[in-house]
Amino acid sequence: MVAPEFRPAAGQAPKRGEEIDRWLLGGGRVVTASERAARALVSAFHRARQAEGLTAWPVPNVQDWKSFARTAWEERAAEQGDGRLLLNPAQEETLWVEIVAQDRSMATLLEGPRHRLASLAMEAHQLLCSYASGFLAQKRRSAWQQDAAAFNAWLNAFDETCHSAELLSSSRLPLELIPMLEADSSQRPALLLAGFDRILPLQRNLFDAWGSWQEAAPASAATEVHFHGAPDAQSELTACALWARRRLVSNPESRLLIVTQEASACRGEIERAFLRLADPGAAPLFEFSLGIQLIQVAPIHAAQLVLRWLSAPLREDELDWLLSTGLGANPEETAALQATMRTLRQRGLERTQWGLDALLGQRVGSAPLPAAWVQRMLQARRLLQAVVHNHQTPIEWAELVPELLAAAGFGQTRPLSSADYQAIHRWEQALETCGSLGFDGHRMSWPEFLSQLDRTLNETLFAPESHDAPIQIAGPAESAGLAADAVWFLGANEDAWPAKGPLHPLLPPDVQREAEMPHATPQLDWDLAEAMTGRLLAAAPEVHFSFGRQTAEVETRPSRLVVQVAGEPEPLPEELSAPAASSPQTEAFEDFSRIPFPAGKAEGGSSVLTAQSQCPFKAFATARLGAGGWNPAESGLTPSQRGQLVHAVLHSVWSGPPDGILTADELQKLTDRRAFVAHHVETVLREEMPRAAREQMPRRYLELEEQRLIRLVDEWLEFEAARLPFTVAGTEVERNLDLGGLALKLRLDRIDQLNDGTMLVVDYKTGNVNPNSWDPPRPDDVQLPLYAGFALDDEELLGGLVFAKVRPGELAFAGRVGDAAATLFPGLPKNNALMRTPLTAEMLLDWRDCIEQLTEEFLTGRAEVDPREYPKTCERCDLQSLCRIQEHQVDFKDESESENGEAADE
Amino acid sequence: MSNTARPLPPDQAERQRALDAERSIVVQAPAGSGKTDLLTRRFLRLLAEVEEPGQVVAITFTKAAAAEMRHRILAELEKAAANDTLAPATDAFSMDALAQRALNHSRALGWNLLDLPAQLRISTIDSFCRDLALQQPLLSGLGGGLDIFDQPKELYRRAARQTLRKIDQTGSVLGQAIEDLLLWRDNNWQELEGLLVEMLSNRDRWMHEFVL
Repeated sequence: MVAPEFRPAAGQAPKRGEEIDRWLLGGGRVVTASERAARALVSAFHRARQAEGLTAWPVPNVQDWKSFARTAWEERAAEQGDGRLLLNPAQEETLWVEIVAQDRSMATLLEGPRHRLASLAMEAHQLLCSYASGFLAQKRRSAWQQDAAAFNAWLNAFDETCHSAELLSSSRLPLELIPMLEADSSQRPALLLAGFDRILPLQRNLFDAWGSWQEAAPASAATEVHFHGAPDAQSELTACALWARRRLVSNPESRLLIVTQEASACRGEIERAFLRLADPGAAPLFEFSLGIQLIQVAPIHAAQLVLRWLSAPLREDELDWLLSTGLGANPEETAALQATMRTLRQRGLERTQWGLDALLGQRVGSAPLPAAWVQRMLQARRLLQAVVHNHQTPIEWAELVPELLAAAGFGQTRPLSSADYQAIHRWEQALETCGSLGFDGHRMSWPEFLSQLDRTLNETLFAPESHDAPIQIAGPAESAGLAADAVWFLGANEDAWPAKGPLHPLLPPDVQREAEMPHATPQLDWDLAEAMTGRLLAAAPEVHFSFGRQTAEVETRPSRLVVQVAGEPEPLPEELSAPAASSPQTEAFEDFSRIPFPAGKAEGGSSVLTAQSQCPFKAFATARLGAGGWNPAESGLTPSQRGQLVHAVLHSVWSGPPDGILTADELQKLTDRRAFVAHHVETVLREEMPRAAREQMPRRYLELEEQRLIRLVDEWLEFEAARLPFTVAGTEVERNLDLGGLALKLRLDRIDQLNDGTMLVVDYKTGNVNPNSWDPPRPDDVQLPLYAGFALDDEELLGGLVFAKVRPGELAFAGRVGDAAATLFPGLPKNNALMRTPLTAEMLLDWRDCIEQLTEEFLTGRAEVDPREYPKTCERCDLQSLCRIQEHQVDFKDESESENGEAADE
Repeated sequence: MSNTARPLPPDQAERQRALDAERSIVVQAPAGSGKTDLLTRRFLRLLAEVEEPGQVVAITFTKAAAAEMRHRILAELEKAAANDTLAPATDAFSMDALAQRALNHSRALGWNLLDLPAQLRISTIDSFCRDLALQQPLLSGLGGGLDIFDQPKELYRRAARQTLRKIDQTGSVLGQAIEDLLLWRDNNWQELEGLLVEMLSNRDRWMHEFVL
């Protein structure tokens, strides 16, 4: 069948799409450059028939170039009894990987580079097939040097393997098809080619061998062409979105094409710009023609994580994400799993990575793991464990995967959207591809199969089925074959357009230049970009180009190519500049109303009042809202865990009989103090070393930590042995306070009775601390003043309160003591800090007043954002996203600047 | 336009010497003294003497500096193209004369530099090194398709963590060295990890002492 000839009247360019539509209506066959273009033509054909009011019509005959060649080859190969296996891209890449791995000079290559080299080799082979098939003959490559020589050897091995194993690369398929067509003289339908920016030599030869063919005539060029120079990329994007909105408001039936080279890199920004201008709640008016990596689609990523988790640990952030998705767990289970993770974190049990066993082994009484979920995970793991140590064929692994996921309850626990179903279908295809890798009989381990699946999911692009949105966003090459009422081309700057690229590193440069391979010369880049620009100009009656003059602080120049077709860039028209807000978008409203604290217990002990002093909002957020910072788990013991271990050892040492001691005298009489300490350290570590550290940290590190603790505590006891007589009255003493309705539970590290009968409140510190932080009116720390003023029994007289600084190289008491020379260390010099600022009754009264004041503020609900010392206080706080201090920054800055100014004037 | 109207700088002789294509030159001078101007001249002079524009390479530390350099050179070439009909400059080393010579050479060899400025190899040192590594995928052992990662801190952390974990290689030099390091830092694993991360991000300052 020969399609009807369609030619416009002489001197007249065809109307857009008319030629192709007529050709298809006449039953002609159209071949497009890409799958995307084929879909667009089919969809335009259907739209046209609907517009004609038809209810049924024949399917148009449109094929993309690859499908066209494959179908034609398969028909003839079957007739000729050709039993060779046509390799899919994953199979061909596997073959290249094996060939590269067998190259002895590549023996030290890591897995990643080996795969990348294999991809490069596959690409080089494809380039030779498409542009310079003469070099497929071995003898023409014999003089190739360096990296090209290595590729030559690989290509020889590839050819041999394909020959002996009866395999065919899809890159060779058109070359094989040409002689088949030439030998077959039967009449074939004429072809109309659409969306080809450049017809490659190989394609030209094949079409010639086919018979009659022609390219769709270019439509007349746009009559309205603009080139906009925006100040920067952001305003360029905003202008484009505003333009699209205006067009659609004036004509909702418009079809707009946005072309950008940054479709994948700036996808998020582009989406935001278009969503911002859409009506809230309305269906998106745009869609990207280019898909995203399949691994980035939530259900697929979650499935991949579950598979990995069955045999290897996941990172903390991966697990947190997985458990929050609701994939593989019903809503109740998801809530329970999140509560478990939260509780583990609150208890300081977070880990940098979690194995399945490690998580299942946690006993979190208040937030247990959901039992049914645990059972499903165990069942899935049992299934895998039965075979996990085997080397199986890829198809066996591929068949196991759905069983594992089904056992884990995956996909059965929440309703899936249409896009989810499509993604899962694509995933099944990817799994099938991985299963097909056993074509040469090789077997693989489970981790090898998983990493192959990972790679395949990374390389597979997924875009949900088009819903024919009025705005299509595409890259310059993918936009081939798309027609629209108007086109906007973003990023037309000198560096980006013509797009440039490097020469292929595995092919000799002169071969590439001679065969005019992509990027072989700057002129070729220019020619291709010129053809694409010309095609875009013919794609719509109205075409806009734009570029941002400033990109990431670098000044950019307009594309010379675009200047040639559209003239010098003009500033953005006013109607396309970001609309200035007609009135302030937000209005500040200071709300000083207070919600009193209902009398009762506040979590956090003294830290509530410390927070109230540092910033009233901090106390409100932490004690009443339960807010807290989130930092990723780190490996090794945290400063707080190390501090707790020191506390625990000292508690054990001063716990009295049978193992501990209670007095200075007992301390001084120890015959082997180091052995005594070592015993306590060993006992404490056995019980108190955090499980994550014990399970995950190197053994030697834990031994060093033990030695460090022994050394530090021994040195501390040596320091304390020089003290005047004292008796430890209690360690880890718990006291419940009621401050005017605020119930606080306090724990005192230690209370000593001094030689004058007074009590010394001791707080161990392993960090850097200073007793000046207790000073009113806004103390930075109220812990010890609170103990001293409110937590002692009536009959106990206060002799002092001190930080015991148990730090390597800094063993000291720092604080306020009534008479340190008479009760702590004999002969303390007068200039010693403990002597210079002794504890006074006035000091105690001031602290008491201050604490009462803070308590009252907390109870009455004072919650202003009022940091004690901006920005220092805020730097140690994790709640900025909640208090939004940055929005008040100017006020605080002004305050501190004026204070500095006053100081300078004095 | 004329260069003679402006008094010559006192170091004019040195500036001229810096344009000598036969010599390697190090120029150290304070900000604002005309280093970019000198580099532009030298680049234009070299352009007029090579067979392909890619044989001249200018490397900068920042993208902004690379962009500025490219703009300066292209602006001079465009100016030369616009002034084609004017009389040739009398001073052979003036910017106008150097640009004119480079432009004539470009035309003679059909480079079409003004339309295809991508041929000028002016880039940051990171991007230059990346290009070199990608051009020789076997020698670099990296394969193709690599991009420079803008936020490598997490990778540094993983490298630091994995290195520190080698402390359990009892009896090895590395195991002992890590142990000594931990003892020196009070067995503070997290601090040490942080220090190694910092070192990795500044490795250009110390790595040459270790790797030849």
